[in-house]
Amino acid sequence: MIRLEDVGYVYPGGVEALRGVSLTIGERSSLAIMGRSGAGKTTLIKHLNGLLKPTSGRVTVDGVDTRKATVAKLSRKVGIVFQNPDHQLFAETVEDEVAFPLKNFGFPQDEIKARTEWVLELFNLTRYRKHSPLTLSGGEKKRVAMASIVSWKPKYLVLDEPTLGQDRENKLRLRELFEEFMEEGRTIIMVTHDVEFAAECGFDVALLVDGKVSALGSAREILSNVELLKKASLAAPQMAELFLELEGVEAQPVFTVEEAERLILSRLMSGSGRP
Amino acid sequence: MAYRGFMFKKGETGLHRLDPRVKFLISLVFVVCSLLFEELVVLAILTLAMVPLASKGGVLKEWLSTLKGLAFLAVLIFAINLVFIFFGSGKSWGFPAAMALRFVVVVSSFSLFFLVTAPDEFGLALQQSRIPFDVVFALTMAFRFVPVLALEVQSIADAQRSKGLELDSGNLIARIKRRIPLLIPLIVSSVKRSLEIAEAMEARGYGSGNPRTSLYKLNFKRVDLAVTVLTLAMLASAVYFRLCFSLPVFLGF
Repeated sequence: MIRLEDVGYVYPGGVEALRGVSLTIGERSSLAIMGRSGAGKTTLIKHLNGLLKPTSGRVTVDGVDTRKATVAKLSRKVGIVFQNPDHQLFAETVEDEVAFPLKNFGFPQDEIKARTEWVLELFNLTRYRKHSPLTLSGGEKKRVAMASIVSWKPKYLVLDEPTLGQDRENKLRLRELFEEFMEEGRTIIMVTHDVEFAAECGFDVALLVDGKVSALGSAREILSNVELLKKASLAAPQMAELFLELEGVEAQPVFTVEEAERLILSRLMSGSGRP
Repeated sequence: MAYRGFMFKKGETGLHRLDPRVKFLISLVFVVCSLLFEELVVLAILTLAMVPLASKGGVLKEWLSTLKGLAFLAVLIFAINLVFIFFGSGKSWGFPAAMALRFVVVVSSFSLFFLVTAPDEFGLALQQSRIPFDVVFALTMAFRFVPVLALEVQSIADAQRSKGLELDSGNLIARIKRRIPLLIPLIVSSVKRSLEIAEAMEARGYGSGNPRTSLYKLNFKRVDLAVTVLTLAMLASAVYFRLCFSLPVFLGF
């Protein structure tokens, strides 16, 4: 379990990025951290593996205070995929890039080989295994960066904007990966602006406004509350917006095309005359 | 971080208001004086003379951080010179210390210049001194991007540490080797950024061939003239002393 207790963080230049954040992220849970740019989302996730130490309050990962453990040690449990893949890739081939953290964590040779194969396949990267990661497209680089973290199967997987530059197929793969990870008892935490993706995944949502958690609840609860979303400069998923527009705030939240289809058909069948 | 000693700090002090060319001249005179003399005491006086200037400019803390950053290299210069003396260059024991101090004067005088001179102001001064704009632009861009690069190094280090890379353990060779995952992304993203900036600039008409105009003009005020005269007078007297007098024994070694 990751616990943030009244966490505050002030950058050396004096900018207060987090103010009294309290959050408990349990095992086998999934959380989307959302909010406008500059709300403190990336600062918050950097606290989860001890890259940043809180200036007030404390963060514990499975009972270990992040102030008292090294980043390398905490990273074994908390794997963070950062937003910009250009800041992460350096190896000669995609394969080496993925194997790099496995070597850092001292995995045996055959395990490194097996995990590399698995993760390259998982992220649709097998055909690029001998390519330089620097020559790939933006979306592909992002997948290499994700693959290299997923490779060691951290207990808590944290992703900063994982859907950036990804097409529909790769977003679906990502969802499948999340489901697989959660079935294995792992926790997924993602920072995202992609309300559609957060709604589809059905994660809990923590809304961050000016360094504070302004709301926490299920995706249905938070992503259909227009007033709350407005404060975080977000809009409800398009499907939810459409139904809110048609049926008013009393409408039951509809997030996906499948849900919309079911609702419309049931209304048509019952002859209510409303969509 | 050491680069902060070279970053412009906004201020409204007399030093900030001086014409950038005059500020450059002051730094240059410090450098020339440090090259004229190899007496330890003179070099120490030159270093100490910068303290009131840095204090007047409200940048003493930052300037001192430059000195702190220079300590390692200064000690290295001292050690190398000491080795040569040991093998009989005929110089006295004070010489290595003077060489280290000379290095401190040269670097810290430019640190002082950059601390109180905005990069754009510096560019404007060069441009109005008829240095080609392309050269001026490349120089000012380089200065402006130092903090961006520093932030980038931090982000890259964060990303690699999150993959289990331990930067601060092991012997010197191991530590240098561990810097490779930082160096490559930094070089690649810097080159990529410079190409993107070049394209974005061209898309906004850079190099269209028309003569460039400036939004601001530098005005050489009376106080600038007075400081210039004073600085040149000090330089002239330093040269005079060097050529016509041998320094008293207690100043040399």
